[in-house]
Amino acid sequence: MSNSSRTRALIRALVTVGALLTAPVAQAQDFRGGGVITDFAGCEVQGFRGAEVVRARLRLGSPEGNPNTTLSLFFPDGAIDLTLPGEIARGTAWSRAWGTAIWFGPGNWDPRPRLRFRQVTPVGASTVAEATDLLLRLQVRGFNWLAGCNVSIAVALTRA
Amino acid sequence: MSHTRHLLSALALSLYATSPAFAVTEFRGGGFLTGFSGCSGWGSRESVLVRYQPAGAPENHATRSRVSMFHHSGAFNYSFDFAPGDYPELGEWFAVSTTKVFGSGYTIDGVSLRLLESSPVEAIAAGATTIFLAFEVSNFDGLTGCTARGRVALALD
Repeated sequence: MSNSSRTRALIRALVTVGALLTAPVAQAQDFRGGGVITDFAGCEVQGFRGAEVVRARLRLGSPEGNPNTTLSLFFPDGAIDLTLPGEIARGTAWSRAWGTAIWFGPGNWDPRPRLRFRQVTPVGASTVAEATDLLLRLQVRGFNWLAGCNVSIAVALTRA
Repeated sequence: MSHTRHLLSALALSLYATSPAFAVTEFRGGGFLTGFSGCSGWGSRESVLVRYQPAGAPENHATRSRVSMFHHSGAFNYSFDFAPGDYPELGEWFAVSTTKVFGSGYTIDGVSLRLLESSPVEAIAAGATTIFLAFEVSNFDGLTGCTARGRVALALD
């Protein structure tokens, strides 16, 4: 390789490294916090009532990776995972989601739940993807395997 | 205008309307603490569970509000005296009595709280029973100069 070729190769390498260093770095899209499940209706057979406190984790979907958003809720004696297709946004339409729970053992909810977000409030930025904190309220139909069990969930989350 | 005062007065009124008789009125939920500054031993964030008994609500103390905050390995209880309608303004610090249970239980001096945001104000005035609160703690865990902020989502139990 000639000196000029080496120089061109070196310049290309430096430009590539520079571009990588200055490219915007995707923020981690994980949030943690907690909240409450309430407004239980039609869930008496499973013993849910009042206000059930939960710790929570949220992973936002990403166009580059898994497009689904996952909300995990942790009880003292169990855990629930709601996986939502696409981005989260306030709306009135119900979306089909996937539910998974670990109580005595793991299982996928059948029938699948439907949900809608009644409040999506990003804090510290104008978009969910850039928010430092998130305040979410959602309603779920078909909670925990029960087709007629409807609940509301409110969570306060901060970026992990 | 006292934004907080109006909010919490409305909250107390909505509780009178919605709480069953002879039951302590309590909000429950969870959230997080973060932004720890000058707090040796505390990490970047903590998930917490919360119980809140507002003063003046049915079957609760007339002026004494109680907030318990449960961390993974311990708990704090904060209590303070304000009659409904006489709460501090949003952003105004107020002293709280603090008890800590982390292995052993004891009281901590010098802790203050302030509410930073509360929403949805209009919905609460209209009788909503789910609320979000944003707050800040000064001298958290009894550590002089230690501050932390948090948010919680609470629902009437």
